[in-house]
Amino acid sequence: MSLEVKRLEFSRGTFSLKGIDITVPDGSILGIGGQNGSGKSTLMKLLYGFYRPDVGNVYHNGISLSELHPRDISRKIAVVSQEISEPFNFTALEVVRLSGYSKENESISPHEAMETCGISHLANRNFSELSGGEKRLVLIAAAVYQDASTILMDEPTAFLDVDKEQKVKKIIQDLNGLGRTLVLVLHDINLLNSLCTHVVLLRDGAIIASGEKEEVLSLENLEKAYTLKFRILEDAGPYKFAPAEI
Amino acid sequence: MVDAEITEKGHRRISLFFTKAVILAAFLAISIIYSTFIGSVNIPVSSITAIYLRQLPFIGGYAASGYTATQYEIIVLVREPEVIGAVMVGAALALGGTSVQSVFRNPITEPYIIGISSGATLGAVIALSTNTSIFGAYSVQILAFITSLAVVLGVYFLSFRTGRVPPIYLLLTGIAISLFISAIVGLILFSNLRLQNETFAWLLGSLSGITWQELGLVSLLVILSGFILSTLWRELDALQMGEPHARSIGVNVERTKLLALIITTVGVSAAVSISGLIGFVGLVIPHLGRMLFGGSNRKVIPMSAILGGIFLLLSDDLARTMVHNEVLPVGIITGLIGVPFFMYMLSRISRGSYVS
Repeated sequence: MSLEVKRLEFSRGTFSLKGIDITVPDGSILGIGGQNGSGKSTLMKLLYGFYRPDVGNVYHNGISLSELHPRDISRKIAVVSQEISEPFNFTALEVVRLSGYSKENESISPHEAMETCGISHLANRNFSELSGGEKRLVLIAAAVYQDASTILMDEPTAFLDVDKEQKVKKIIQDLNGLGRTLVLVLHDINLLNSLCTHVVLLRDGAIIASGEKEEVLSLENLEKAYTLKFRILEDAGPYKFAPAEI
Repeated sequence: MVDAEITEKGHRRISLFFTKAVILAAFLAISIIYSTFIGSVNIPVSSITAIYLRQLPFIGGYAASGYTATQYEIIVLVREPEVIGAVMVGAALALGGTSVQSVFRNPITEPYIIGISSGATLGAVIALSTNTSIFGAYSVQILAFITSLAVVLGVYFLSFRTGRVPPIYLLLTGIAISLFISAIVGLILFSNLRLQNETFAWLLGSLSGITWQELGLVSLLVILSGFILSTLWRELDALQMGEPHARSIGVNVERTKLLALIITTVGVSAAVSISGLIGFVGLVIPHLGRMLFGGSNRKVIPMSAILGGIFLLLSDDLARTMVHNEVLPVGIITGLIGVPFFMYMLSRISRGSYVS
């Protein structure tokens, strides 16, 4: 098990996560779903040690993250986070190269990582001047360059146009095909269904259901997680779930 | 083929960088020599050259004379320390600005904002008002240095929130504490007319009257802090992308912030202790460095130090020569030049030419 969360509790201000137990199987794509404010992004920050849990622990291959130096964590876990400040006058290549901070060997070069994400042509462009979608792809290339076995992504497809969304989904599936474990924070139920192998549904900082996608994504669980009734659309491909009232 | 093209481009960039760096370094060297030739007392070029030759180790003894004792003193004891002091103070302020802007991810911050300036002023005012000689002849400078460090540490510890120091709290606490201390300084000054003149000179910043003795120690601290900061370039680059990102690539965020702030404070406080408050160098010069050399601190840190040295040195030359027989406080000059220059850079940045 690459990543394991055991009896985790964490509170910050009025918000708290409680009783969180998650097992992320090796080679899976695990989606964390739930409403806005359910604790998805906070949970993600706990998964790479940015926050320290008040109770319980996060383990990577059996070792608690709180016992590891940030450098060691980053060799195992790469993150594509939503909250990025724009650095002053950096090229896209410099942003990617920065993610090699803790790397021990140059298994993949920054250029190769950018090529994997189809953005070689952006290498010498100023990062701040890129579009939102291009920036996202640069950050994903940076995570690819970091070359960790587990990659966390916070809403990797949010705010992207259809073309970029497809590209990102393809990259995620390719990475998974190469044996990477992915943990994705996704608010979109149909993405949880079409992209993930395992799903965790959160509501108000607690787990509603977790496990394999087919078991978790039931109409009953979805209603609990989103306080909304859903129905299943037949033959709708990746767009299986719709709110019951439309 | 694509790779070869990219590498070639990379080589071109590297050699371009070295060309620019060498030109800057040469310009600094020329500025230093040129600056010792000008001043309110007119000394012939031949005499200054003779004095220089005289100062060379080993062969200096054979150098021709051709200068008076007074000329020797003016060059060696007045102009040389002032010129070297200008370079050191300018470099320290620019280094501080580069570091603080990276830590705060904020382009309009400068080293004074975390309490360095108000802390140093408090120390200077206390030393001046009590006429203390607790630290010998340099009591004002040493006390200014100590209070400056103390205030920054105070700001840092007051900004702790559940084991971390979020930059926004650090910034706001720094501003609040600075205002608080300025009020105390105001209170001391209000009751002492004599002090108002001396403090006024301190607040405007000046490089005249620097001695070799104080300069030696300050240079050591500035060079040391510059050296340590330049080893932190990757961490400071990462902090610019936000703390979650920096942490995710393996940076020990809290340690880096503390280290960068301490190093910055030591360097800048040392500089300020001999110069008083010289504004705008710390704000403006890092941006100039980024415009010329791209955003990565690998280049911006050392290049800002050189640019800061040149900028303050030339400003000081102006301060010494602009008004006949009068030396203006250099802080007035940096303000007068710095602000229009900053406005010009802002307009370039907003037009999207914040690119090397």
